[in-house]
Amino acid sequence: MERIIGIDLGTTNSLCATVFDEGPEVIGEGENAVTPSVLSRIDSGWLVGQEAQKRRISNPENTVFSIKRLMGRDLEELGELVNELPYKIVEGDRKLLKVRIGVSEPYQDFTPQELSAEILKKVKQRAEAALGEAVEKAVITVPAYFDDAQRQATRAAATIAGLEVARIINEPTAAAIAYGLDEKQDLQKDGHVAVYDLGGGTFDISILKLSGKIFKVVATHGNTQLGGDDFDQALVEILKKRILQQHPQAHFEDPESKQILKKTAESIKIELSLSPETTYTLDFPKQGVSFTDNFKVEDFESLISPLVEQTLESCKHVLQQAKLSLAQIDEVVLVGGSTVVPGVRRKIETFFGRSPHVAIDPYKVVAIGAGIQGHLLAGGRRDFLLLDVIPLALGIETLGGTFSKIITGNTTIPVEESETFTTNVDDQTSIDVNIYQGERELIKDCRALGQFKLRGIPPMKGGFPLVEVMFRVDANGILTVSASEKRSGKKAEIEVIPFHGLTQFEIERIMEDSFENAIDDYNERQLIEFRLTAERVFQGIEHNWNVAESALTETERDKIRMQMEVVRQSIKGQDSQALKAQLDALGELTRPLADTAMGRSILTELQGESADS
Amino acid sequence: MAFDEPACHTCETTLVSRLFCFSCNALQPFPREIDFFEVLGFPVSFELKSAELEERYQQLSLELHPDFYGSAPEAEQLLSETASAILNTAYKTLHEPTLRAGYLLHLLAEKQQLDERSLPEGFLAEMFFLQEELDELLDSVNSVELSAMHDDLQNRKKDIEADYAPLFKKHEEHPEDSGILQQLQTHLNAERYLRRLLERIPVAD
Repeated sequence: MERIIGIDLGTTNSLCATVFDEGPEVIGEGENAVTPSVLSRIDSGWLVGQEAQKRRISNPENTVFSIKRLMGRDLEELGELVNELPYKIVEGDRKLLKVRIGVSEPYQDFTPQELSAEILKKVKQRAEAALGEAVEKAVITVPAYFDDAQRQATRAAATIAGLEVARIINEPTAAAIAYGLDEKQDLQKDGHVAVYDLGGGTFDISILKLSGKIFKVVATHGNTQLGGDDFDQALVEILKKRILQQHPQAHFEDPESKQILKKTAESIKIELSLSPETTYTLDFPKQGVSFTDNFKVEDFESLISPLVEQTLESCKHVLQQAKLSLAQIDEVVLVGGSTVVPGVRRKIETFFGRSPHVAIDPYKVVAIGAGIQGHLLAGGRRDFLLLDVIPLALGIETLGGTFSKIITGNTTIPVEESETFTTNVDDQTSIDVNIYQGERELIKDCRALGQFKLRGIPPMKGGFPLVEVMFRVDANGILTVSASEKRSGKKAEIEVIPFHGLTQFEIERIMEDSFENAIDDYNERQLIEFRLTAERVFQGIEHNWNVAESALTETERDKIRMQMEVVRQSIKGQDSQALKAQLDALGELTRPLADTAMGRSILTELQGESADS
Repeated sequence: MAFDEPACHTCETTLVSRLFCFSCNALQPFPREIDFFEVLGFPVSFELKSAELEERYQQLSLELHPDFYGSAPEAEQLLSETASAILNTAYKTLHEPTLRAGYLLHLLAEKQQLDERSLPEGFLAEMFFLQEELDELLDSVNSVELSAMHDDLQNRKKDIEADYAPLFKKHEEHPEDSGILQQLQTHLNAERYLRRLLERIPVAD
């Protein structure tokens, strides 16, 4: 049976899991199990994970984090976030975001999809190293409230990383699977479960109905731009104010200062989860500013209170959508790193009036659920079924900028609905349709997903053609559109132009580029390796030159000296293969020397041994 | 609506649902114009036991869902996806009494010309009045009166819904009487108005 791993591609951390003989578990141990979702640019490559994390302060403008918040979004939607992040963000064609690396031209621009792909590559490599086998397929989790553009972006990232996406599933649903199928958990196996998922950058609340083998999502709500990062940012604003009171000249616009503030905020948040008060020190060596103060847990809690209230509003909303009262919720499950904050946990407990399940590590539970789903998809078991929903309605723009829903929100997927369109004028052969996603009445309040152009409609009188467009949302929550003209039976051609997303062509181009880069990277790695080898060889020759005096002829020694010069020239070049060839030639010339030297050292050792005995 | 006992494409067992043969576990190719009752394997009738519907839906989901066809040939994967999609739509439609009534009426009235906009006598004027009253209540945030109005509208809606079953039954007994179908259409239209008003009232905590 092939293996399909589960990957939790998080805002802050990414990890993967699979089903072992002993049961489902995260792949890798300790630090190797978690890959911080951070990457840092060096020369023509990326450092990913822990190594990149270390460079957040030393190299802030080249170090990228929280990429998940950029997936499938545009500049306008990001709002204040653009100024808060220490790295540069620009907008390209079709509102596609790009992270800009470099202080001056030529810049290097990367889409969030490409950056996420680097993280996925790292997770994949680590999984392969730990499992000792190739990993090609994965279930990847996304926030339940991710819209079509954000899901498409996630899938594109996986494709670029060389992973086949077996399924995209929602994070809270993954968590529900992990709990629901774990016999050790005293979770009621028939009833309504609320999954509250507050991560680094996103929030979701989902209500599932468990009955028999079926996990059915009843309703979901959330905010893809609310998470622990916002707690940090609220803290950063307070820290700035406090510092300015003592050091009015201090300024925080540069990437390094932003990182120092962000890192300090993170550690204050973590400390306050463990103790009622914490002392912190902020050093800005370039400004000669050093600041030390205390932070009390009650101040932190009142600071984040409005954010937590927002999540509870979503909880009310989702209950309304599910047509359930609070009393009908049988179980509450907590997921995501931000639910370990005691102030958050208390509020959830008060709201639902019951103590939540936290037994499975909230950092790991999503990956574990994804791993179990991967096992099911690979054919490893078929004793449960997940029925998920599309979070937001899908529809089209109609007259006057109104949004006409074709598939309503919280509909079980897969689902298909068709809609019939016609032409306005005689002999019109194409129709443009704008696709939106959202829950509001007007398209200006919904997200534009893209435009499709219906072409190849047979010329007929205006209003006569009947073009049936089929909207299909697959089990990944991703939309595809197809169309046919019913009177002629002719299949209409559809070209979908995604907003905020990559076209198939662009994905392929990135993959080709990364293939070329992969060769470059390989060349570079080889160069570094051969240069080190050359150094070792030179040292070896020098070390044994006294032997050469007696073991080699004058001509042989000259040849070696000449070849060493050739290698020195090659080291300065960029061609790893040429360097290797010259090194090989040098090795050939020095073989008699090596043989003699080795013979001697063996002899010396033998003599030494016999002398001892 | 002839229900001509469909048989399995492979083993020829009579099918419960046109989508799947529980006897030989084979996905069934199904016609595009399949109706939702055939999808779930129930006779074309308004009478439907909710528990039975739920059970059949789960049974079929556990057989049809694309998750179970991950390593199947592509044609089968596609069929499972299409079958699951129509199953989900069919379940959703038949599960909600109002949607079921609307769908069934659409099936039954196929060849008849119904007045699709008909409303009960004086209903529209009453709705205008209620609409204005609701606007005022929403402006004044009067939660007590709002919730009273909510209950009133809810009760009217329930009264209408209670009529569906007997009207459909009457139609089964007198299929030639098109007046019954027109009456159902009027009920459905009225309920839609009530639902729209109800949607505007925020639910109290």
